[in-house]
Amino acid sequence: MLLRACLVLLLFLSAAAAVPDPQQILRKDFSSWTLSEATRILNRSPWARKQTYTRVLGGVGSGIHGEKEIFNTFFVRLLSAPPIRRAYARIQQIQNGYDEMTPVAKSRLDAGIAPGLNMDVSRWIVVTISFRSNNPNMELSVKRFFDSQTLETMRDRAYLATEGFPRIELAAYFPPREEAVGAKFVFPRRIDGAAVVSPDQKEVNFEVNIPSVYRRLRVNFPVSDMLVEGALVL
Amino acid sequence: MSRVLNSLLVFGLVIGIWDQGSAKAKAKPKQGEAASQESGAGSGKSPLDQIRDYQIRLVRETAVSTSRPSLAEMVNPFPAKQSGRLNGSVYWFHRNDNLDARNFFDPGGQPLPEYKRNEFGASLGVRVRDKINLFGSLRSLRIIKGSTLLSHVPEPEMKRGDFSSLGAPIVDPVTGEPFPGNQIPQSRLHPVAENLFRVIPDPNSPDPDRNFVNNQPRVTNRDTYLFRFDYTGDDDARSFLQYSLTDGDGKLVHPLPSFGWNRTLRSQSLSLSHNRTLGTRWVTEGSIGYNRYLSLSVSPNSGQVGLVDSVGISGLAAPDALTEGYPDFEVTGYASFGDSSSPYKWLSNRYSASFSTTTALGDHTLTLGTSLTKRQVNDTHIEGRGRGEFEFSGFYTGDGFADFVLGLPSVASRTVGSDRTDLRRNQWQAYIRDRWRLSPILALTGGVAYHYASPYRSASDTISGFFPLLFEPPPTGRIIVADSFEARALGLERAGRGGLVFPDRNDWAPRIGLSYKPFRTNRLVLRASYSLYYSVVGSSSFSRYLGKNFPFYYTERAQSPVDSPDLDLANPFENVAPPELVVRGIETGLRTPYVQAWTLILENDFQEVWHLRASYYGNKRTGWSRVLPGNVPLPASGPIQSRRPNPAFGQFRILTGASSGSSHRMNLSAERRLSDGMSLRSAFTLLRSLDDRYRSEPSNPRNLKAERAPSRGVPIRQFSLNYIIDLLPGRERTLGAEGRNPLLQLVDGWRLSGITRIQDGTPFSVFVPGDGNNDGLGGDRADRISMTPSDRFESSVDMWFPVDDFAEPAPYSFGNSGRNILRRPGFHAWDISLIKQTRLVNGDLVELRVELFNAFNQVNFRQPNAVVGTSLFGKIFGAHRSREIEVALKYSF
Repeated sequence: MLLRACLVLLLFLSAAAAVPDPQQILRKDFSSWTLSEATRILNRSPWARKQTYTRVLGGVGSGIHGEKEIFNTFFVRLLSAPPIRRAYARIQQIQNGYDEMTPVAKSRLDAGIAPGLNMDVSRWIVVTISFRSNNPNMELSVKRFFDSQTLETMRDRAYLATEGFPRIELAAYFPPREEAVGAKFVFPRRIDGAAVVSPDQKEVNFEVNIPSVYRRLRVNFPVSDMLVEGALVL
Repeated sequence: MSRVLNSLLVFGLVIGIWDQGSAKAKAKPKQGEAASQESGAGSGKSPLDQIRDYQIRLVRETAVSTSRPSLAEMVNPFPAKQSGRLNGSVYWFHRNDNLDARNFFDPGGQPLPEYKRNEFGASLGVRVRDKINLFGSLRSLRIIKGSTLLSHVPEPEMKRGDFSSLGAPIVDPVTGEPFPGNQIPQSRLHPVAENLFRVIPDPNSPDPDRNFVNNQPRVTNRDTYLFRFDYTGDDDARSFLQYSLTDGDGKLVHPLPSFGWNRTLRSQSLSLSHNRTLGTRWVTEGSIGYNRYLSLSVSPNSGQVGLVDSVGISGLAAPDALTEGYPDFEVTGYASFGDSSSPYKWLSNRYSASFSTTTALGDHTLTLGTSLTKRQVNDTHIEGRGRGEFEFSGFYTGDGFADFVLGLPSVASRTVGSDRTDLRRNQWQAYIRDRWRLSPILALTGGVAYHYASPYRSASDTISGFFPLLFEPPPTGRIIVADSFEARALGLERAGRGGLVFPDRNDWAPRIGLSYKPFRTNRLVLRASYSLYYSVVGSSSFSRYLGKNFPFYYTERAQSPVDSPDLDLANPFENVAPPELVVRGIETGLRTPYVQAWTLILENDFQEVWHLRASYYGNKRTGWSRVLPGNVPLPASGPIQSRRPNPAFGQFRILTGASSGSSHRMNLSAERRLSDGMSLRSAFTLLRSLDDRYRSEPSNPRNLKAERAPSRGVPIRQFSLNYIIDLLPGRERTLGAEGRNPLLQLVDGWRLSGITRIQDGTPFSVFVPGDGNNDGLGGDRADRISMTPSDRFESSVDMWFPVDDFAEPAPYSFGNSGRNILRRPGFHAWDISLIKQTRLVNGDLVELRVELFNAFNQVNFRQPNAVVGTSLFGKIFGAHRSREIEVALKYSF
């Protein structure tokens, strides 16, 4: 019985380990990524963070619409980093059956996704936030918050920080247009001619205060993890 | 075929992207300032426009197999729920007595009390064209719960006058000598008592102290409906409408089976909110709301016309069928009985409107807002004491039930008139708040609010109060009816029409706070704040202290001296002439109670997922209401009324704002956000709270400083832990395909969650039975005559504290023990849930859960009996729930 349990556990762990490391994934052309590899880049990579705040509802009864463990999850991604946009592009390819397409159809699809893939972010660092919750009230409340903000009102709530720049001001804010990408926070790459992030720095912090969930969302992106073949990919 | 489909999809995608681009080109650029700096890019779109327009939505997404999650779900995989265009769930939570452990006090060898709890519901949500969200839900609750209510009832032979089993002599109050053989002669049994023996059951349990167990089921039926509509317009406006309705009924159980309460509840709520972004700097929100609440509770004896007359006590009446029932009888040492608190009716309406706007001005974020609330309390009855209340303290025979058998109450009271009140209040507030970012590491917040809450006024001109409020010496005054000539002559017109309490227009509430990052890192943050806020006196206080006075409604109270009975149960209100008139009132200059609160918080994040927090919360409460009894005689023998400072009145019960208190709370908490399938949060808190807010009456009204003591309900230490653990973490469960493997389906998706709570006991006081010092007030505390060291005493269910440390005070004196000097047993429980989630091939989720409340079956005793001088003193008669198990099934789609 114990042996069987160990075998099951081993099988499970091996299944979990089957998705390769993000750096390995990046060595391949993104058009050959699997769905798991693309979602790995979007959720567990140096350019993506997932923060889940939980709440256990005590007592007898059905909680909130049958949910007794509340999960409030923020998906924070560096959209300006090419791996994130490639992962989005690859998911679009997979969704449309790209791998079985004719070359002509492929080129049409490539043309469709190219603007997003080759977006000009030479001057900007773009952070995106999506939110999901199993509490419908919370999900709508956070959606309403992101929808109703402007650059000016968000400027005091969200900022980027690095070792040399304790508070990098928001340059633009775009409310969410779709759930998959979420709200976009745009920060300058250079301030007074100096790069806000350099390969020798330790980390990039992103912080935003979200009153709907009474939370200060703080995310760290370690710089060393974002180096690909010695170059900072951000 | 697939190639054709693919070509169509690609065509659709390209058209969709072109279409979206066109639409956006027409849309007003939201970030005009920044975007204008980014013109001239080669594609025709500036880089910021490209960022703004970036999206990956597929126009033909619905053509893709529905067995796959949507694109948004694939990129934002979520652990517990999958939503699509149409999503929802159905669920069922079930518990019954077959799954529960035996309560410590449940009689052995017998089935557990009946318990069936079914809660079921459904929810459905749909998003229409990304603009409209519709959501509706239904939740139904059905409970049948047989509780274990323990009480002490007289032996059957006592109803025949035979008290030989009592073990203590019964004194004949006529002769002052014990009854021969402890037997009250048949001829001396009071006819009213004989009438009432039918509602006093015989013992059904061998326990001599807890000799009656009532397992009658408590019933609850409740249905809640919710509908919500969200709309997001093209013009940066969002609207929100919600309506909810709760409908329910039920039955509450009395310790004796002849009594109880049938309850009806109906609550409705409607709210509409509109939110709009104006330009780049202003976010505004306005909302209106309406709530209606009805609660009605009546005895099962209600409606039996003539019942109160059949008891045989003259001077009692039930004005209508709804208020029919038995009088209340409180017999020291035995179970109380009667149809207390029937009927209880509470009907309230609340109308509200609010508006707020937030703007950013440089380093300042400014918020201004205002709100208006109108409250109505209609057709309210909250006492139902017209049928009379009678206390039998055992003063005359040495046993409470023997006093009852002889028909010798120590106190008799009744209410006369209607206790209906129709109250109105308007509340208004305006506020301004600013957050000022002084530097990257320092931010200040500040603001001020102005509150105005009018005192409740009567819409039916049926309130009155005692005025002026002079207590000593000699207390005097008059009962003044609102809006009467007398009220105007005394200057009470300042209270407004229908009112007797002056408005308090001085409620300014400042707040200030700072946030500081001392090491220029975002991980460590220091926060400090000071705020002042108000807590208005509620409608029930106004209803009770102004809505229940002469001439509309009043209490007549007759009290017999402790040494000579002069009340007869058959005619209790005629032996004392005139009947004692208890008057109530509210201090006319009652200020709005306020709290000053200050906090100091140090929080630190480390290792990405951990959050540590050390905090101190302090507050000082000022002007909180409490009832001050007046016209109270000094303790002495003999009739009370003639000894009162003003014998023309009975006791004054005046609500004042004289209470104060303070609290200090130190808290250490650690939180691990969900990572690798595990999250937890634990907190340890040290508390200290003092106040002088006694429950209903002070022990000595001339020494209110002696009432300052640890606050009721506040423990010294608290620990809590809650956690969620995925038993086999590391897999993203929303990707579908690999979830089809039956073996993985079996081992995957197991989760453990739980809450643990451990806390010290909360304080309580030790009292003497009845009015031991004969000053007309209850709440007399016992003498503490010794203090047994805790290491020389072992608590047990039959003696939780050293009962010999306490004694009844000398006759006609105050006890020396303080308020809240003992602590009840602590509380310790582990609630654990085991959950199995299974993802179906089409992406729907099935969840099965088993929840164990008090999983390790820890016995958590309730407060011991705290009335000195009875055989029950120091004994415990109840325990919180034993281990209970709930099973649940949920299907989400």
